[in-house]
Amino acid sequence: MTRSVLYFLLTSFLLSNCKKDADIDITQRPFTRDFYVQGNFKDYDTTGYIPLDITVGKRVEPVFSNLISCTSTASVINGYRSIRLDFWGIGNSDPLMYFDFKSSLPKEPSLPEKLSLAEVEVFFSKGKSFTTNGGAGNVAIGYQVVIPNFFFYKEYAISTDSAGPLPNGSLTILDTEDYSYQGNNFFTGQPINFTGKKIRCKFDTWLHRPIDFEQSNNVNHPVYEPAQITNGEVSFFVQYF
Amino acid sequence: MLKLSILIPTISLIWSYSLMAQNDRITVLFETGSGPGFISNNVRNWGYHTIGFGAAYRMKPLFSVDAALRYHNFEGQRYGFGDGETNVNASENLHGLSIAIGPEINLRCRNGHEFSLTLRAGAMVQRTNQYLWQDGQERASLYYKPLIIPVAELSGRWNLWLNNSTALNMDLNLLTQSGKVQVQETTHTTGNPLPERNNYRYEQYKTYLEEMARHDNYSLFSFSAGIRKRLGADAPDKTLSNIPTTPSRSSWGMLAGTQMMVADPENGHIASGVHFGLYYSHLIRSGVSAQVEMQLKFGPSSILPVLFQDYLVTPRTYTYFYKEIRPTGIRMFELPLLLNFHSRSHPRNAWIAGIRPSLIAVGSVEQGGSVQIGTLATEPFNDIKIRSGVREMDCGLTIGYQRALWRKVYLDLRYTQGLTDLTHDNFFKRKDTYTNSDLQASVRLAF
Repeated sequence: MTRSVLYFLLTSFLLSNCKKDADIDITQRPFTRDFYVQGNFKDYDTTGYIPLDITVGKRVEPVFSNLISCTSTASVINGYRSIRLDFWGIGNSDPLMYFDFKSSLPKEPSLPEKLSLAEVEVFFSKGKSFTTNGGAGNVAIGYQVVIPNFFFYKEYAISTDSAGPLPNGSLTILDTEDYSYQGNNFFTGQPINFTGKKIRCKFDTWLHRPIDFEQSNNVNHPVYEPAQITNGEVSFFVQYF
Repeated sequence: MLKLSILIPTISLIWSYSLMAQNDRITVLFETGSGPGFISNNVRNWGYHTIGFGAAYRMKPLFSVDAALRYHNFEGQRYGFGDGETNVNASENLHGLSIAIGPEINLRCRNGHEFSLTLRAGAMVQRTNQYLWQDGQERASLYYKPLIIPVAELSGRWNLWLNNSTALNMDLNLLTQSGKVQVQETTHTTGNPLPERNNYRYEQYKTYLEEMARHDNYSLFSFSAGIRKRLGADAPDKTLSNIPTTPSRSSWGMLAGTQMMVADPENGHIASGVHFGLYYSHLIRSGVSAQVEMQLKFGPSSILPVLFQDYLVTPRTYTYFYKEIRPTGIRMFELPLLLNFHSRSHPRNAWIAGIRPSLIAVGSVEQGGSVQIGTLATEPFNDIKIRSGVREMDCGLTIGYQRALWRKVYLDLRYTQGLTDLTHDNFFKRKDTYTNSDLQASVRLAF
C-alpha cells in the first residue's frame, strides 16, 4: 500500500505541471513615453526643486479630463519662421507649456509657409543650440503657473527678457529621428498620415514668474519674480510636408 | 429515508465532520468545519476552514461549561486598486488560533432530539499574509505581525440519538471579533509594495496599502456534522449489526458531499465547494469492485483577475483599450472511474484508486472599455473570454478510503490530483499552476 501511495504521488507530481498556452494571440501594447517635458522647477518661494513632468498620453486626472497632447504649428510672424510646440491638457483652453522657436533669418518669400524635410533638418540639426530669450534664432519657453492668492488664476512664467533681463538659458538638440503616425479627420473620419521628426532636446532656463498684478494706467501688469528650470528635457514632434 | 433526509442536507452543505465522545459528565469533541467568512475589506471569500478541539463538563442536565480550542484559516480576495494605467489585486490568507470558554444550555426533547446552545468568550492570535499582483505580475508579499484580539463564539448543536449510544449531530458555529480596529504592522515584505516616490499615484497607492494593513471586522461561520458516541452506555449499538460483511455484487445510488479544493497549493489557496451525483458499482472479482460515478461539483475559483490593456499614444492621438476578466465560480462535470479494494479482515473498509476525467467551466465577470481621441480603432479584446484561458477538460488520479456507515450508507474520503494546469500562462500572464485537485468527502446512499 505504501508503495502504491508513493507511486501515485510521484506520478501526480510529474504530470501535474502539464502546461499549455492559450490558442489566441492577444496584442497588448504598453504605454510608451515618446513625447514629454521633464525637469526640475524651482519656484520663486522655494529653496528646493519640484519635479516637472508633462507626458503626452498621461492622464493627470483620474477621469481623463487632463490627458496631455502635443501640437506643433509652423507659421510666419513678422517675416520670421515660427515653430511653436504646445503641450496641452485636453481639458485646458491654454497649453500647459510651450516652446516657440524662431528662425534666425527672415523667411524667403518664395518658400512655402509649411516646412519641408530639408528645412526641418536644418532648423533642428543635432547639436544646435538656442538661447531661451525668445529672440530671432532662439526659443521662448512658457510654463503655466498659478498666481498665488489670486483666485487660482493661471498665467505663464516666461523665459523672454520682455519683463527685464534674465540670466541666459539654453536649449540644445540632442537627437532626431524619423517618426510618423496615423490620425483621422475629425469631421470625415478619413485617416491622415503625419510624417515628421521626433526631436529630443535638453534645456536649462530662467523664467519671469508672475506672482501678482499691479495696476498702472488702468491696465493690470504682472509682477514677476525669478524662477528656474534645470536639467530640462523635451521630446516633441515636428511635421514636414 | 429519515437518515437520507438528515445526512444529505447536512453533510452536503460543506466540508465538515465532527466526532464526539461522551462519558458520564465529560464530552470531548474533534471537528473540522468550513463555511462562509465575511471580512469587511474582501471582495470575494474563497473559503474558511477550521479545526477544533472541544470539551464540556455537564454540571447539571441542563447546564454545562464548554471550552474550545480552534485553528482558523481564511482565504479571500481583497478590494483592488486601479487608476486606469495600472491595476493592483490582492489576496489575503489569515491564520488564527482561538481559545474560548463559556456556558452551554442543553435541552433534550422527545424522539431523541437534543439541542445545545453555547456562548463562549476568549481570545484569538491571528496572523495575516497578503499578496499583491500588479497587472498580472506578482509585485509583493506582505507579512504582518500577529495580533491578539478578543473573540466571541456562538455555537448551536442539534443531536439526534439513534439509540442509547450513537447520535448524529450537526454544529453551527459563529466566531466574531470584538474590540476596536487595529493597524497591523508588517514583519517583512518581499518585492516592492510601493511605487517610486516620484510616481504621481504614490500617495494614493500608499493610502491603499494603509487600508490593507487595517485589521478588518469579520464574522466566520462554519458548519459541521458527524457522530456522537456515548461510551459505556447500557444499550448495544445495533447499527453495526446491519453492515454487510461482503460487498454486494452490484449496486447503484446517489452521492453528495463537499470538497476542499487545493487548486493552487504553491500559493496556499484553498476553497470549499459541494458536489452531488450518481454512482454504479459492480463486483468484478472477489474483494474488488469497479465503480463509475457521474458527479457535478460547484465552488468558488481562486483564480485571480486578469487585465488586458492596449495603448497607442502619438503626439495628437490617444487610444486605450482595457478589459478585466474576474473569474467567479468553477463548475465541473466529472466521471470518476474507480476500483474499490475491499478489506477482507475489515469488511466495512475499502481502499479506492482510479482516474477522474472532468469537464470544467469557469464563470466570470467581465468589464471593459476604451478611450479614443483622434482614432477609430476597433476594440481588440472583444473576442477574449474566460474560456480562452482555461482548459475545458482535465484528468486526475484518485486515491481514497471508503467506510460503510450503515447498511446502505457509505462515507468516502478521497484525494484527487489534477494532472494539468487549468490556467493558460500566456492568458493570465502568470506562471501559477492551478490544478483541479481536491480533497473530497462524500456520502453514498445505495438504492
